Amino acid sequence: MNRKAPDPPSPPVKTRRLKWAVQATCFVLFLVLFGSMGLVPPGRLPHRLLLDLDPLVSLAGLAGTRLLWVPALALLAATFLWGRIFCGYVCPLGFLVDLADRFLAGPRRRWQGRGRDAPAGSTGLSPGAGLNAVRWALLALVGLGLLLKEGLPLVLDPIGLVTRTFAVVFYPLWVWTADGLLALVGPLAERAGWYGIAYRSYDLPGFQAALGSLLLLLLVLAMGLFSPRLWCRSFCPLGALLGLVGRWGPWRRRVSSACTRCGLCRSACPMGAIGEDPARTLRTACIRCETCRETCPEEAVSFGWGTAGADRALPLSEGLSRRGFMATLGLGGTVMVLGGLDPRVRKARGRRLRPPGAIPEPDFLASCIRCGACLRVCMTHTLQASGLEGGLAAWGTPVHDMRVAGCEQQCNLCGQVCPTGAIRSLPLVERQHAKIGTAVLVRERCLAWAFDRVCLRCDEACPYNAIVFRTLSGRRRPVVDPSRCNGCGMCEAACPVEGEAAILVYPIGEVRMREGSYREVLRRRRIDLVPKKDRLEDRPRGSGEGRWGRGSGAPGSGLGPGHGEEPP
Amino acid sequence: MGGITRRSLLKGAFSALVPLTLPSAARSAPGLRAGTSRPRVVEVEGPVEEALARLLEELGGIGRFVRPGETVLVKPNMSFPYPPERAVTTDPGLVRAMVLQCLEAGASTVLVADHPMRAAGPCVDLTGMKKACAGLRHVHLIAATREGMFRRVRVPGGTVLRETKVLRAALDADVLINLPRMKSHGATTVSLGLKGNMGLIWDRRCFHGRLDLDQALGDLNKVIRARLTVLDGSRVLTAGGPTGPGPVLDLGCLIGGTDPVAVDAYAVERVAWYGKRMEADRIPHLRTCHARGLGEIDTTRMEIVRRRVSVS
Repeated sequence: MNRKAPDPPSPPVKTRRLKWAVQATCFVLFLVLFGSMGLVPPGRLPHRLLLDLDPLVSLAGLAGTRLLWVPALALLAATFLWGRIFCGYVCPLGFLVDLADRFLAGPRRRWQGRGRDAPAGSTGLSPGAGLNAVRWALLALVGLGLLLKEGLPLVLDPIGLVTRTFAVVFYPLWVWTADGLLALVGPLAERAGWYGIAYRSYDLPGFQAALGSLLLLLLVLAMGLFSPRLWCRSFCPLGALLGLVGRWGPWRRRVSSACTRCGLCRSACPMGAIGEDPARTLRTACIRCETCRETCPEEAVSFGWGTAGADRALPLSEGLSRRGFMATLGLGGTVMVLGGLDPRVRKARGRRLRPPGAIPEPDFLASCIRCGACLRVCMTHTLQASGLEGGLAAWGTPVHDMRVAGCEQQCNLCGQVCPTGAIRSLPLVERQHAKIGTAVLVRERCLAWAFDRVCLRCDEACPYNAIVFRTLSGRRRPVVDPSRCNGCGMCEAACPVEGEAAILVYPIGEVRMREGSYREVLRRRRIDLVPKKDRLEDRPRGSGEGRWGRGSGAPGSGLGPGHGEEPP
Repeated sequence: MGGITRRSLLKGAFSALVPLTLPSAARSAPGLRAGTSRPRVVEVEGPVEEALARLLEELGGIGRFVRPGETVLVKPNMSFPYPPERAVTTDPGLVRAMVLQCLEAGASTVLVADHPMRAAGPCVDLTGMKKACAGLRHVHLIAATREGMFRRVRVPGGTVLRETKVLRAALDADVLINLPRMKSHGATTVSLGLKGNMGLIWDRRCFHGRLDLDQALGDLNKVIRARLTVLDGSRVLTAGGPTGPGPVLDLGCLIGGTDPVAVDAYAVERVAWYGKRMEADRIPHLRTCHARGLGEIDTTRMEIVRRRVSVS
């Protein structure tokens, strides 16, 4: 940011500096809010502020269970008054695009060979204008997706995109660095008696969709090779929506009679929003960066309230190629529909486990914007972003990898941070009854069954005592009691068998609901996972057949009235 | 049964002092010291703070275990993110009381450490350990989660465990105080002091997979020996351990001593586990540890002291 580009004509540079300052501040705010997610309780800080402001996220919330309209409406109102200021000043992706554009300015000029003011396309707007239709098509796809319950287009929502990239790409890199440094200084710190540093560590998160997310971000940034802010003006569906809302607003660009039609402003405009007649503005594109005002050697450009003396809007259709629109819509629609028809998406495969509180799959896919907030806060990192193996339509959605870790039963952060309520925010007791699936023990691989070892890691790890024992040939063998299993996967994570565990969680009996009490549902299925002090006594005797087995010093089956008995 | 006699006090003081004169390696594995006859096991009933004070008194005072300037590692069970009412982790009140006792005895640093089985954050929060250690100078809470925090040690004479990685702080501390919860365990029947030492090593998986768990526990306890073991029997999870949920017995007492096998053996016979009374030598890992000369398993050959205190 401190790299000031030399501006040959030097009218007031104030707005540009102000813009960088505001953008940087907003970006830092985003980093702080995002970074403290999972560290500071969700009630204490508005971690999702930017996601909540995003009207597309609110739209997705319609399909989900979180209807948070106030921030999004506030943003829409501000956009109506001032136009796309969000894009110019607030959007973290916009900031990154601006940064990348600066770095890419040299290569861009060399590449295009003709300098910055090359007119291109029949519309008379600067390079990239021919692509303008794409963002409208993408916005239409987002809307269509909501109707058809396909959330794939939401992957392109800029706030979701940048949040996801930070969650699965930059956050792991940061933790890796910090933890590596801590490991390095640990022994020294210990010698100095700084145990707080010596024994601090962070669990290293790693995500399977990390490279895909990084590629998508790089793709967006690399667009700067062709033209500055190309993503924002031609692709961003949120930009399209905000441009539409801001088109009729009262805060306008105005060009005085001092204008000599030199065209400098037009070639300087990063959004290609100025027409051949500099007094005309493509209002759906203007992000109010005021570059035109600063560029104008005659100081003929100003911004202000009211229609008197204001610019004339270029028609909405300006620079819009019907072919481009139809092609994008057709292609995108095809990808979306075919992706949704993918059998891996339509019917759950193998062990696709959704986080506790995830709403029914069609609604879930429609409302999950793949922002990665749940992945970021997941304290065991059992939550992974689905890669292409789950089908393109489910790309980036959270799934459990129980071999990485089990789902911590005392944690309900994923639901708390989900911006659309694709994962419901549940109180702990409800969340513990939001059954993820059921563990299935594979005897052929189990150390206790197949290799006669004294291994009861699954029992040790199970928070619900769902592992019971059966004695066979004098040895105790674990068995899953499905009526107690929550599907948390602690057993699968703990299983010491190399490679695939001998106990695997399948989405058998998972509970997915938009509303209502999970505990109630499980109660109807005669499952109650709330620990009761005397729960063993209120089970009918003998029902827990061989619960504690016989062999190796452990006493016989069932429980006598004995515990609680006074010692002699 | 008798209280403190001059003779027993002298004997206790002597047995505590002898290892101090030996090089530290021998001190950390004083298995050969088992020659001391009739190890003393103290049970005190009452609120944890008062009970602990009395228990230490009966064992000769905290000064017998912690001398000024020493670094103490207190090893509670904080492996699971549950409140003490579930009886799977050590009572935070007891941990704090022990830490304060150590500080009072002049410890330069007190480390409260465990290698949690579940996510470390919720473990230290929900067990109440963070709160228990809050606001105390020279006290550090360690939830060890990185391999680099452990150091490889050889297990001399290990039958199945040749070497293992032990928490550096535990190896370097002058004093190790074991403060486990008294609870049942699906694989080892009980999880008391000897089993609790698994919370100080890195690789626990191999204990279940590659190795014979009971033998491995015998080997492990040759390398890790607490100078003092105090079992938290304020509540006892008599079945369903180590994670629970299970029946919780409000036993309301602490059981402590310097002989880790004796303390565990007494505790085994103190309550009914899984609804059944059992003798200590029915517990394989206790038997193994006894056979390796790590301590007494026969309760009739211990000096049992039972006391009751009430809130002052």
